Amino acid sequence: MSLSLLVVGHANTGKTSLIRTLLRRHDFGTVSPKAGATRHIERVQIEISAGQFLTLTDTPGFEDSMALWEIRQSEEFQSLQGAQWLTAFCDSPYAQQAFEQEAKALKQLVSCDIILYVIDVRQAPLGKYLDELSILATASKPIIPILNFSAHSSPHYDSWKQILAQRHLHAFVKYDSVAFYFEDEKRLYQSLQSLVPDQYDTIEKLIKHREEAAQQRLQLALGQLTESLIKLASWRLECNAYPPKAEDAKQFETTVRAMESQLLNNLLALYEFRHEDLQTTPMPIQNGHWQQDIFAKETLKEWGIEAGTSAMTGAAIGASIDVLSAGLSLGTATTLGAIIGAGWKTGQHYKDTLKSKLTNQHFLTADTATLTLFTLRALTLTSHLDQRGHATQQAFILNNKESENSHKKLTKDLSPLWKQAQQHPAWFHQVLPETHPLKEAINALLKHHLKELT
Amino acid sequence: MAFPSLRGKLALAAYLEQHSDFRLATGGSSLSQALKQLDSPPHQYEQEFVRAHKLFQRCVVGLFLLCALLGAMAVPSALLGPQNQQVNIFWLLLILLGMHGLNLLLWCVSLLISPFRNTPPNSFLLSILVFVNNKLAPLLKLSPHVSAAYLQWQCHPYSNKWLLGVLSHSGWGLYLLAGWLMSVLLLLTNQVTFVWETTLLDEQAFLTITELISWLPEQLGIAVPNQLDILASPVEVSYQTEQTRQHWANLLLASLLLYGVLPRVLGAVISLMMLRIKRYYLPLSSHEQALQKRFQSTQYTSDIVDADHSTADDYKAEPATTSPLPKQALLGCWGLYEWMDTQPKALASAQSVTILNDRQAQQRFLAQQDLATVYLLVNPQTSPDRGTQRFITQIKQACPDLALVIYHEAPQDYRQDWQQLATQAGIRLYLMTTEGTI
Repeated sequence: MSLSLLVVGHANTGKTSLIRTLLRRHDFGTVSPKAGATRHIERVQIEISAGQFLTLTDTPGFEDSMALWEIRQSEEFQSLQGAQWLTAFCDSPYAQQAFEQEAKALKQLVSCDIILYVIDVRQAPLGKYLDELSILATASKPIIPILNFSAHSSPHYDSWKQILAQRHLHAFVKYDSVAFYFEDEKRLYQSLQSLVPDQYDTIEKLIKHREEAAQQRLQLALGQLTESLIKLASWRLECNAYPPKAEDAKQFETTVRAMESQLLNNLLALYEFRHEDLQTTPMPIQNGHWQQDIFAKETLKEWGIEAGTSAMTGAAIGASIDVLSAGLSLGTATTLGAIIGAGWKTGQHYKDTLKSKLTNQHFLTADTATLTLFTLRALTLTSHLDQRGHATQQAFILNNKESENSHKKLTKDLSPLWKQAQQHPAWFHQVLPETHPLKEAINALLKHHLKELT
Repeated sequence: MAFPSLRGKLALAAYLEQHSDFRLATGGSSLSQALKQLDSPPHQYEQEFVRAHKLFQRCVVGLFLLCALLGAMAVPSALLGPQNQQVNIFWLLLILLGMHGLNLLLWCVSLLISPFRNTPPNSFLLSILVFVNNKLAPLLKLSPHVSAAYLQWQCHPYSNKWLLGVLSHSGWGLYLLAGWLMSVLLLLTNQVTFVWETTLLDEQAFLTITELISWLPEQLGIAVPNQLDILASPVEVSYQTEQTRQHWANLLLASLLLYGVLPRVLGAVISLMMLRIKRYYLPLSSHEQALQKRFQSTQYTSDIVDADHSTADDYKAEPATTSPLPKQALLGCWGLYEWMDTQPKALASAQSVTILNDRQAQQRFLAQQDLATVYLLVNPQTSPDRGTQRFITQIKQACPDLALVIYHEAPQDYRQDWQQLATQAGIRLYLMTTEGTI
């Protein structure tokens, strides 16, 4: 089964951009602000499931539909209807000369199932567009008008609505190939469902698949941000003095920038954008002095559990030695095992604090302001990429101009969690399980703040 | 199954991307193809990963051999102690099975409480392994990133408790099996008297304990000590019948097998099955999922079905220079071409203003006989197309004194295209503001 959609419209209305956005790929066709960038017919097949495809065909734009309609009305073609006239026109000398581009699109009208007529809603329904609609109607195929660039309100929206209604085209779809909203895409597929009811289930499958993919992308983006945040918060740089020397501070900044750059690149790759789609301004970075919160409730609790577990393990190993010695060691091995087990964990837990005191070593860590800005910048980019169309030509500029309010709220919500991560330097080298309470808590908060941003 | 699996390679690539400069190239046809980069010069990450795996396997084998050796060593010292001829049967059972029982109990308890633990279950083992790894990795010439990635992969929190289960049960199983074999060997070649002794307990307690221990072997048809054998075996008894000795030996060997080796074998098998299942359904980390997603876009296939064969050159004429609109032009004959805004106020005194937005209006305009000088006002926000060129050619034929006027107040997105069109058509070009002229 293959459902074939033909994307047509006037030159420069965003036909190729629409397909790029639907595919979420920037390498399909040629997109240019100049009219007439597409001069060939390009087809792309989306596999819905085994043997089921949705075919999208990109066409060159109409450029002189008024003259074309006059030809249609001429004696030569007036008596021909539907596919007859289309074939006759495509075989005529017109198709080899001035109307070569239009003929390419008209030839495809014969074999397609549904016509997607792309309208630049920023423009008024001029006569040439109405002639295009008249020409398309001769193919006797269902037409879905796509009101492109609908993200911003247009003074011509109502006129288009009226014109389309006069032509019985009530089921139009608002879309924006630059600012992508999944709900718009969903409405397009739902319109297809109403036009081809026998393929309702197949299209439903496609909608579900696309919806899941969109949700998964967002979930993965937040997951990556969470992991990066835990890594950044738990990361420390050892230095000989505090405040740090210039070279230590520089190394600290370089590492934090590298972490941010890696995260941003991963987000771009996840949403299938290119490096040139993003321009970043440098993030101001401040270092803080790492100190162990020895008496923090969480620290003590964890130390208690870990030291207890290790003491038990040590005692069990020691007891086996005692038993092996037939009790001659009088439980010494058990006691020693427990002490070593508890000591090992305690040492691990507090070794950095002790080392710092004894050797005058210090640890630099990302301060709250840096962590907040890191989070806000990544959230801003995620929010933008989630709704960025793949036809957008302008790079997104990521700067530090986030609102003071969101900054404060984010700091308030996330600070306790960062503190928790800062107390676990080992987490920098580990990948915590998805069900880890800290990971879940950060993820939930990021989701909440992302919603507020959008 | 070949090591590393695709999943293992993915875990390695994800770890390396997060902790080193390694980046998996995008644009590959599939994930498996892209993962080949792990072993392409100058890196040999995959080979190092395999070496780390072999090292881990050798360590496990070493651990098992050590357990078996300890088991074999424990029995002679306990069975043939200082009192060579007399063996305290319950003390011997305690030595051989006591710690095993305690360890098994601890394992069961930890298994039950593991869902309620907040810390990752691998933290203790992993922290020791990471510590050892940090010390040994340079000596073994393994990249610290690869060995750390291997440990993360091998001791994955999702399956780690079952890995620990396999190691623990197998180790104890081998310890007990070696102890059993050694016991059989010693009992085959030595004659010992099995006794029991107590300070605090009475005879009845030993009778009950023996009956409890003997129940299972008895069900399997093994001859175990009866009441007479028990009463005939206190420490002060100097002589024991052969039958009594054999009954006690049977109980010792059966207990080792049934209460020691068998639960450990069962535990090892269950843990191994669970480990396999858990590793098969190992959840992907966010980064692993993201890597996988990078290569899932191959479900699209595109092709050009009707190529561009046009020979028309893309020659663009030099843009015509714009001049300010003469004041008297505002009184002339105006055509507003594809005009979407309100009529400019400056044209209030014009001789005629015609909106040229559709075919009929354009045809009517062209049909006028009295066209002398015509000013065609265009909005540079939209691009001229082939239809525009045709119309301008037609209007120029009807009215040779045609001037193109660009409306300066609108966004100038396509101004250059209109300037080029003016050059191509050979017509004058003016610029108009709200007031009319600059």
